[in-house]
Amino acid sequence: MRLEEKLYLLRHVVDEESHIKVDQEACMRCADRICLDVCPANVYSYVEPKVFVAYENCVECGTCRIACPFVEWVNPKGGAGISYRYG
Amino acid sequence: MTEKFDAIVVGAGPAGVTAGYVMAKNNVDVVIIERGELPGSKNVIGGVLYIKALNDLIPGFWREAPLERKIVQHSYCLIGRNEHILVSHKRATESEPPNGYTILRSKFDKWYAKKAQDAGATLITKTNVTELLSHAGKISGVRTDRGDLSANIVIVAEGANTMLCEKAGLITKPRRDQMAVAVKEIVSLPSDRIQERFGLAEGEGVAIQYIGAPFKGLVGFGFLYTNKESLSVGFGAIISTMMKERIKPYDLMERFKEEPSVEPLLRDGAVKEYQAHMIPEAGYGGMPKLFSDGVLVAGDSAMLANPITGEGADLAVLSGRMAGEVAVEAHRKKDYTSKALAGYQQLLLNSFAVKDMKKQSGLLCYIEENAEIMTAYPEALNALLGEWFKVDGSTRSEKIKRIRSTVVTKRKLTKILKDVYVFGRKLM
Repeated sequence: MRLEEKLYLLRHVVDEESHIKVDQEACMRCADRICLDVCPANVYSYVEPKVFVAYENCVECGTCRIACPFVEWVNPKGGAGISYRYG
Repeated sequence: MTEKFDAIVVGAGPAGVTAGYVMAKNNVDVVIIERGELPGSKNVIGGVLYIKALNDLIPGFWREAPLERKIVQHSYCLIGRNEHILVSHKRATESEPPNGYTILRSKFDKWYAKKAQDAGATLITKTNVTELLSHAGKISGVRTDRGDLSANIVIVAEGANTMLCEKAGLITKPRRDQMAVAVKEIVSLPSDRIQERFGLAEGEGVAIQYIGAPFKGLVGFGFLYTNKESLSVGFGAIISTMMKERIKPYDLMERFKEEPSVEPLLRDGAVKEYQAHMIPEAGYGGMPKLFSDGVLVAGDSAMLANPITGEGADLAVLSGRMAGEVAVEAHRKKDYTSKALAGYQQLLLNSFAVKDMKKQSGLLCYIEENAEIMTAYPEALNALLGEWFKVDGSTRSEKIKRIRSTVVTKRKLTKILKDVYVFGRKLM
């Protein structure tokens, strides 16, 4: 089963504002770009010369916050974001 | 004007709700603030709630709570290359109270939060706490995205993402080798199929932990738990090791599900939900400052999780209860200084759970430095048993010779001795 299909199963309340900010300057110079691999929801993608953040798919594990120093990750607004039906 | 409470709890997970419940029962005017739509909306558990801590607080809760299956069988599956060993323990006659149950957080957390509300706690959902407010060096309330609230004491149970504690200087941001990323799927199956497949009676469940080949290079393991009408399947691994191997969590998940020791158990099941969450693995040495003037830290935020035993939710309950009780005492004496709250740390450090965590501290570092043991031992043991069961015309002494030489190709004898020593000292 593809990740896209799995993400499609999830219920999100999407906020119009992103709760994830990246330092594009740093991302451009970053040799590692671990964000592309470490995120379980594949939120990050790189299309020269920018890192794109599909924050609406974020499942709020916070792994990117620990793995990458250039991500500024905060909780989405109250009530917004992932809403697990099973958990 | 900001609204004032005796106490504020941040987070309606098991730590926060327990603290809120204890305080409300003791007539403390407490509000629990939850950022999710409902309690449990943001929360993930691997599978099992060991019930002792909660049963001590609310005796017999397991008769009324929305639980999935009572765990009657614990198994370890050691995966080699195209082979595996399953070690299981099952008790035929049930002990009472039971040891643990699988739970699903959206149901369980909702039920538990209702308990705190019935005891008199106020629950506010859909509200994100953005910072702890302080006045004259003492935590005096919280700022939320819907306004400020003030209180004499704040109990922070914000979970594994410790932004509030970091901002308040109670903890430094955990390192990559101190946190695990866990990914899990809910796979639905009819309950009679689950019972048939796992050899269970109605209401009974199994917990299986997988170590070995699928997690090569990682410090992590897989798991499979039975719920009423679904399976919880997934894995957790230390983030630094995932980064080093550059493994995408969802790729590993798919590979794990295809394992011959896993795939037949999931067959014909439909994926209902895909989840990811972090597990604090910093252990004893990585615990935050647990108390300060006007504030206590509990649950995942206090790094209370034990990868060896699989405890987490129960430690949240345990610490939430202690925090709640210390807050009640502080409320009685009208003294919320760090001196008055220091008893919380003492209670926690004297608990069986933290004593174990203290004893095993350093073990995770040892495993991280010797990550090969996560696959070397399962492979060696598989080779050993494979050889033992095979009838191929060779004598037993020839087989033992072959076994001995395979084992030492997996890990040097001196290192095996050191492993035995370290594990023995840390776990016994």
